[in-house]
Amino acid sequence: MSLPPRSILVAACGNPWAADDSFGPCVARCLEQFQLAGVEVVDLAMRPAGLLDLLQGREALAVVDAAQCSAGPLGRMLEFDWFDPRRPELLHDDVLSSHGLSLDVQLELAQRLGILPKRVQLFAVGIAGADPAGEMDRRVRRCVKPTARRVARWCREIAPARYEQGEPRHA
Amino acid sequence: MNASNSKSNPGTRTIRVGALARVEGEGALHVAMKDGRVEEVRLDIYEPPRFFEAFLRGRDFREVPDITARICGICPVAYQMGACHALEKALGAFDQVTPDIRTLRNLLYCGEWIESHVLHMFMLHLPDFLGYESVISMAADHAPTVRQALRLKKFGNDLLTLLGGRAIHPVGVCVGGFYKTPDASRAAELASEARACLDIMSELTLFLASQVRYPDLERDYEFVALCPDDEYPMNLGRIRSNKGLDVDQERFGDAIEERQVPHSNALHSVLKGRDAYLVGPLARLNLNAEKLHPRARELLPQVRRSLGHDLPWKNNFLSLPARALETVHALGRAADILAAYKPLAHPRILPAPRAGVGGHGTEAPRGICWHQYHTHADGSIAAARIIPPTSQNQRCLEQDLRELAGRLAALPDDQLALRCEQMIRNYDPCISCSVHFLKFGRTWAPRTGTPAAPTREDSA
Repeated sequence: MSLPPRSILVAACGNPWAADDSFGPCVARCLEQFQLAGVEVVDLAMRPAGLLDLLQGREALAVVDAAQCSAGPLGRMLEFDWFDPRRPELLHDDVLSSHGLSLDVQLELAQRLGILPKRVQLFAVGIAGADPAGEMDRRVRRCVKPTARRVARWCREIAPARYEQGEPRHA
Repeated sequence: MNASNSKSNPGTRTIRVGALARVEGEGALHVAMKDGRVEEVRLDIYEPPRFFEAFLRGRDFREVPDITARICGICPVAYQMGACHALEKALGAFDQVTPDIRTLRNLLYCGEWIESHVLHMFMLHLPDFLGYESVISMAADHAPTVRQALRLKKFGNDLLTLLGGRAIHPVGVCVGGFYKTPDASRAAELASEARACLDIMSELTLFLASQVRYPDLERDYEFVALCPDDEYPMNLGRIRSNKGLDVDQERFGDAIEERQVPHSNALHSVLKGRDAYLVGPLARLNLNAEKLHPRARELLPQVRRSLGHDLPWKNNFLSLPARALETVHALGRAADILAAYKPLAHPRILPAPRAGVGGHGTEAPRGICWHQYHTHADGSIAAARIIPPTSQNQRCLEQDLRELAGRLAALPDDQLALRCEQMIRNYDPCISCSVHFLKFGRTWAPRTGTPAAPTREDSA
């Protein structure tokens, strides 16, 4: 069965002006170069509460975000199934939504409503801080392109049929 | 960090709530009671001042709508509309804005009302009334309702995107109109969804009126809202109340007094020579019900019967059905405007810089959002004054809390906290939306000759 257009959503989160926290938006920009068929890349920036509106009809969701450094060494790339209990805590996910609609809450709600994509994967990097005046740490910056490649590979693994059918490689 | 000073003052407990970092709204509630009486109620808003009025000084007037939009991620359109109208007055261009531009401004505002009202009603407030701790637990039993709400919310966001370019902090608005207007085909797509959403919301409104029990808390409010002659309020109209206030938009700033209170970084507003007043959906509905869109107007008798209350509704808990009727109204208006939509050949006028002053309020989902600007001859901003709805409602909110806490003093602390929080949510306060990070503390002063009642603090 062929997948409907843009059946894979890549949602990047993070504050583009806050040092390492801009990791997600940077990966989103980098992903534009890959021209992934059937994939929609959105930069939710600091407004993750919009994710719920985007889930209907998706086969898979990739979340790209910064993770608390306690999850691993600074600049370590992380990849987890969203529901893996070892998944690291995301940076300020509990407070970014003024309505308490964190990513966790939204995906739990989506599950209750039957609109949760079958696969949800987190791509993250352990970061040092989100200082608005600071610059991204070079160890974090080094992870941007490799993470984008990982996300792209993950998307292609999910929807290989589309490529075999020779669909145009643009989103 | 929270602490108690019960050791230094045996029998009493003082709750201190530490600062919460990186939240959009930071607030706390404190209720002090003695012998079953409410001694003190404070809605502490300790979110630091944001100095937007100061940022605006010296900026070119064309930059203002994009700056003020950043005041709020939930109701940016309200801040854009207030700025545009007030600046058009300051620049002497207010009367040049065409009816077509005004219609599209209403359409944009419809998107914000729909998105904001639906989010508040179904995701935040309805769980209170149906006895759930959150929308997640509510979704287990009411999944179809939540799905419908998500569809409505998405439609609101789609409308914002249509005219604003994006749903959060739209960028399509400018002083004088819009930078561009959308294709007719996109508007046509949304027109059919508007009609579908209108049917859904009409059913949901009847559900909210007939299947939800609302606590009783009638008070003698002074309701204040825009009151245009020929339409339900949104962008235009004199500002009136049910107790005789009747002022031109320009003069509203003179009719109210903003007071600093020690426990809040937001100013409290009162009507000069009077007292607190209420803005928002309940005020709008009570003062303008006959101007609702026909689809909302035809629902009103059923809603009133189900609730057992004729207008005016003086119970703030009925803000929820008032919001529902307003959402039907906004969907009806949006459907009509989209059906007749044609791209504008001239989506904006071009006001020329001049020295002037202009004041204007529009109806944000939470109530009147009033702006005033003084401009220099080169069009830069000399002074700005912005009065958001939540600060206008703060004093009223504290009075409601005092009344409610007094009536429910016998309840255990956790239940009282819950009811107070539910009451605060009647206002859909945008501090920003701090009720979901609200800390509730109640201090019981010791009764004479009796041990102190237990004290506690709940994270709400």
